[in-house]
Amino acid sequence: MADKKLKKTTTVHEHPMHVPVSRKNPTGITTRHQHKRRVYASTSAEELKQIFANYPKKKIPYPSAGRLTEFKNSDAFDELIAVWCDYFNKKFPPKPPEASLDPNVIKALIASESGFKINSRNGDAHGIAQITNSTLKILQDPDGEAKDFLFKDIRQKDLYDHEIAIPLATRWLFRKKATATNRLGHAPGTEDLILEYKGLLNSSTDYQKKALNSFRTAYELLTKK
Amino acid sequence: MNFLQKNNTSALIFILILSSCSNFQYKVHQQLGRRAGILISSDRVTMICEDQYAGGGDFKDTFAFLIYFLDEKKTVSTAFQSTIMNQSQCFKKLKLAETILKKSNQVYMAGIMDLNKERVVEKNSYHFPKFGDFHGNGRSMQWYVLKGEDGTCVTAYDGDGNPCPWDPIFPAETIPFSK
Repeated sequence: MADKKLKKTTTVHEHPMHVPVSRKNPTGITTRHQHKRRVYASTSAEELKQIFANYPKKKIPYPSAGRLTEFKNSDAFDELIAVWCDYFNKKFPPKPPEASLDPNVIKALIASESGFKINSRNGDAHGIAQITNSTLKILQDPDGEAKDFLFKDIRQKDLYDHEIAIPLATRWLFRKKATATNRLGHAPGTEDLILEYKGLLNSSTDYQKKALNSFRTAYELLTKK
Repeated sequence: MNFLQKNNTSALIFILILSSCSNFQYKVHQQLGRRAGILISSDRVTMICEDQYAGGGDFKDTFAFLIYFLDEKKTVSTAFQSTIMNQSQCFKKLKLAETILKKSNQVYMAGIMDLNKERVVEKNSYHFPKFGDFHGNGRSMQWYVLKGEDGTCVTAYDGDGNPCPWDPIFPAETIPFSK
């Protein structure tokens, strides 16, 4: 007999709800009757560190080492990248399976965002993955777009901890993979995914070309045979 | 008469050589792998805050800081700050960088860039008031630091509160005209 996955739910009481104005609902407001809502688990900083510590690290794909020598510490985060890439590839299995996210994408993205500097700050962007406050908010919002895998109690200062920033960035990249698929109507290529991550998928700016170029160079160096 | 004409030509050539020697323009100061530092005349540098939302980006109030610089072949390379900022953050950085350009005859710029990458002629061209319009060359620099002769410095990452340039891959002692 197949295992039944228990899904935690909660009861939402009757409440008014905004809907498109129509003949049936000329005011644009209807009544939503009492219903069940799935409660998604959320992961704290402590739990992230436990998952990483206990994760089997031997048979998972790692990003290439020794290729981005212009950056200091560029290989210091390979294990974290490998674990969280594998974790989310299993959490959100791609179709087809060979479309799994390559850990080199995450490594090249970090190279192009912060150059592997864990303390880097730039306006609202923080840490090694340059995660912004608004992204952090979405990643912890039970009603937000990333509710199918949430984090909890992560504060801005935690983004300077690479053991927290890397799983958050990886999870956000998986979310962007889903949004890019919706926008394009097909699974995004690597560069489309990076543009979606940066909010530049439909952009035609000079920066879009240069930023993509920087990612492309790092990714090519990492994947060169 | 012939003697005078010859002498005039020689004097002109001499003045031209002298002026090109004294008028510094562009020099690669350091290149270690893809880490590159250049010295360049301030008038060969121009910069903008580019509105990403107006250019089709997804998010309102997002701006990118871009520096265009004219190289020794009179083609234009682009240095860019990797992370996007809001308008006020970007213009604050732009103002500081422009002040450095105004106060210095030459500036030091560093970042990650392949100076051996083959140049291509880009569609876009860029204006330099003293020299005219020139096309982009397809080369770009992941920008880290801009420093003026008086030691004033602006960096891509605010870092951890250390003085600019705080990044260990461009240590202060290797940077010219450091205070």
